[in-house]
Amino acid sequence: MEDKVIIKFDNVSFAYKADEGETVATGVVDGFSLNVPEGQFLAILGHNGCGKSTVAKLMNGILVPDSGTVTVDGMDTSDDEKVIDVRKTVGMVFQNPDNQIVATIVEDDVAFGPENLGVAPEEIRKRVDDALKAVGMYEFRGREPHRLSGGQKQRVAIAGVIAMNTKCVVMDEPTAMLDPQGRQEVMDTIRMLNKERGITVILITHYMDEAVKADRVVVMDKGEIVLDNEPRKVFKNVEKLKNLGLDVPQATELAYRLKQAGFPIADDILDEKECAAAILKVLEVK
Amino acid sequence: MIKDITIGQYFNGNSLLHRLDARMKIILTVIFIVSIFLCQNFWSLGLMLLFTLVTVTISRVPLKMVFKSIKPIAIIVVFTSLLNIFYIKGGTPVVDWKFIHITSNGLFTALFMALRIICLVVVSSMLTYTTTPTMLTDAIEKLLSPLKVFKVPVSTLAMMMTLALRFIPTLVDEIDRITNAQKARGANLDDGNFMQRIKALVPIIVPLFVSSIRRAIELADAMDCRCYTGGPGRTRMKQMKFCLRDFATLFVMVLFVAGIVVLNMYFGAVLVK
Amino acid sequence: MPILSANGVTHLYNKGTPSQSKAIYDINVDIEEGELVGIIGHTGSGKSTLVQHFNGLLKPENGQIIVDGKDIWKDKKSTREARFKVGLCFQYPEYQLFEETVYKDISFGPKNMGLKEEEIHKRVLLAAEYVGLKKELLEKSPFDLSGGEKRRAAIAGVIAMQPKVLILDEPTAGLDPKGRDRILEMIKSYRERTGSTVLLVSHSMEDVAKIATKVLVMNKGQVEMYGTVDEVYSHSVELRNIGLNVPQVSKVFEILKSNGMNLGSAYTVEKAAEIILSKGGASV
Repeated sequence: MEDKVIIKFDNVSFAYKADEGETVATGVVDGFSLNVPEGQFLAILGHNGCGKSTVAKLMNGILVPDSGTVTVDGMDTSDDEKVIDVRKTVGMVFQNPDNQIVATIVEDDVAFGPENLGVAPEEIRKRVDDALKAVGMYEFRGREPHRLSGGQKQRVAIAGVIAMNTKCVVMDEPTAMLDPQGRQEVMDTIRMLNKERGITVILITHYMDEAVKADRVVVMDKGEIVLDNEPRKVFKNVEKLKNLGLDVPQATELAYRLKQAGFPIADDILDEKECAAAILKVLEVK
Repeated sequence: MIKDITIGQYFNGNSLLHRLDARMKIILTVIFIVSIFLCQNFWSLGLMLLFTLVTVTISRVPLKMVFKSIKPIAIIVVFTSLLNIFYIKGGTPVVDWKFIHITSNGLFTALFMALRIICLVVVSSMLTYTTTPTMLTDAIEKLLSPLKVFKVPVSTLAMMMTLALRFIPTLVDEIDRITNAQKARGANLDDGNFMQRIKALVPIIVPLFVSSIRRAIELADAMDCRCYTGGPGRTRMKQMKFCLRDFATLFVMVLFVAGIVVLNMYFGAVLVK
Repeated sequence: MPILSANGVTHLYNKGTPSQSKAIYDINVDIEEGELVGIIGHTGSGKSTLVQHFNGLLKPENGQIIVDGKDIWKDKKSTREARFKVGLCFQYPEYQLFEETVYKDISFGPKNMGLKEEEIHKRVLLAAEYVGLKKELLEKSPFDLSGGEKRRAAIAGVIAMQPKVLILDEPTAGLDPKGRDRILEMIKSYRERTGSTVLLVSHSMEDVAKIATKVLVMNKGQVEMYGTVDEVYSHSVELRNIGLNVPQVSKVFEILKSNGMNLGSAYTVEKAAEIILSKGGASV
């Protein structure tokens, strides 16, 4: 059976306008087409200014295309009447945890989305408790957000999206401002969303070790897709990724370098375990 | 550390006052403020003082904190008292020496005003000590909601208040960071005359302004994403419900006002016309 | 003589408040001139608190900070001198830009030092060159620059004070790999050209491995380890115990070791490839 497509970009172009009506060079999206099947964990990679954040904002109608169409669960995002339904379907988590929390108490913030949707009070309470438990922040429900760590704030933001019962979450570099521990917390939460709740996740990032965990990786450059495949096949293109100003995981790079030097090792290595196993295989044979 | 500030002056507790509905507390505070100005003699004044003391006692807020709320108004109290003592005429003369004329009316008015101002501040601070800023905002929104009929954007105003409360600590933190960063570049913020000090603030205010605008834009997007429209149809998770204790307290307040009125009528006014 | 030392430095903040986690206890460390020291430790380990002591932004409750042979709290003048001898560049420094032009912003520090106009001019141009800012950008508003350029302009503002010790707190935070490599490259060449001491506070063990000569590991407000990159990174188990993640290539070598293949240790891809090739490359 064909997977149901939840977000569909059809030949989408978009450019930011400066004050004088000129277009700005960064963040342009040009002739962009993409299908995101329901339940997928998709990572979008690219350097700053390649248009990946623009794509994120096009996904729930924060931006609407100059030409082409973005369809969310069958709804055109440029249809003004559907805007709330689109955002009910596709939630969003941003980079700066401070600038997306609206309430002075954690649980009130999680309740914000459902309140806006006019959900009944008892139902909101249920959703808020459930969402906070899911991200492991239930004990913090009565706290003030400004006393939380960055990772905890992002988890509250994610809970806010869960409480809206969205089918899909777009995360725009949610870990860029976090320390390694916070990044780990957020990545674990994202995986849980996808695996346990079946929520479609679109993760915009430039951390390769995060993209490795996705089902599919799309690499963008100058507003276009340059690579689109499962992580293993994408990261094989070490040279190409480096030329695009991107990293590959160290294990992948090590294998690549060894192979370049004539060392007979597989070139589709993703993590330290695979890398060590491959090296052992070669060295022990001798 | 500046970051550890608590917004408003909420004092965490679980007293009867803490548990009262915030709307009722606002209503009661307003009634009390009005009744303060009804007192005309020492008997009703005494009742007012007694009521204030009882309120403080059941709130379980430490006296030290209560005094802290009176401190800023001490100068005003002293100043108005002096004005009253020297300028109110009437009643029996108490001191009549050269250019100083003090009358009983002047003394009584001074005493009345001082006690009224102190009670007013103490009782209003009880409201803010026992109610979180969030609860206050919600209560104000509810109490003002009839104004929606006159197209007053009550919900939007309440949302703005909440956001202001939410971002105060963030901005305080930011000021702290920017100040440190500019100090590290040798900015001198502590010395110099008034103008120099004002000028020295530019390197802090400009970045603060720039970042606040950036935050506002991002916040607007985030609120859009969470379907905030500012329009009708918004529900609230936390419902406010009046319960028995709210009405009981209201009843006590009515008794108190009645007491003041009765004492006024029975003993007459202390000021001589 | 070390350029920078902390002798028994303790700073407790208000006990019982959330800031207590930022406290540091009895820090003793000597930084030799010309080193590039990576300072690592997870959030709340006290590394930011420590570096704010080095330029006198924070005053130790106990102990001394010696910069260039002088106790920086001896008198008011010494404290002010320390600000300029130890240049501290905070995290996300682009948010401290405020002047009308990049040139004016970079000259803010030197101006506060009371330098003459020609000297300031020289320093601004030199600092801009160190960080790779093109001359034509100097007359632009700092708010018109790109993200990476803003960051480099802000760093130039600290470099222009020509500090003996340059401290950078997470200079690569939030940048993409290209921007990150550019900053790291810049730091490395700045140190090579000026011979000054650089302290790099970082969460990234990979970044530190790439450019540092020495590593200072902070944990719970104390110095856990201080030594060369080799010395520190070889303690991968201890590092992991305090919540630090060694680079992925080091993990590869650990796994190899646990499988009976001890190749020593490596923490950069280059080094790892070299070791493996020398082991098995010859016969291929």
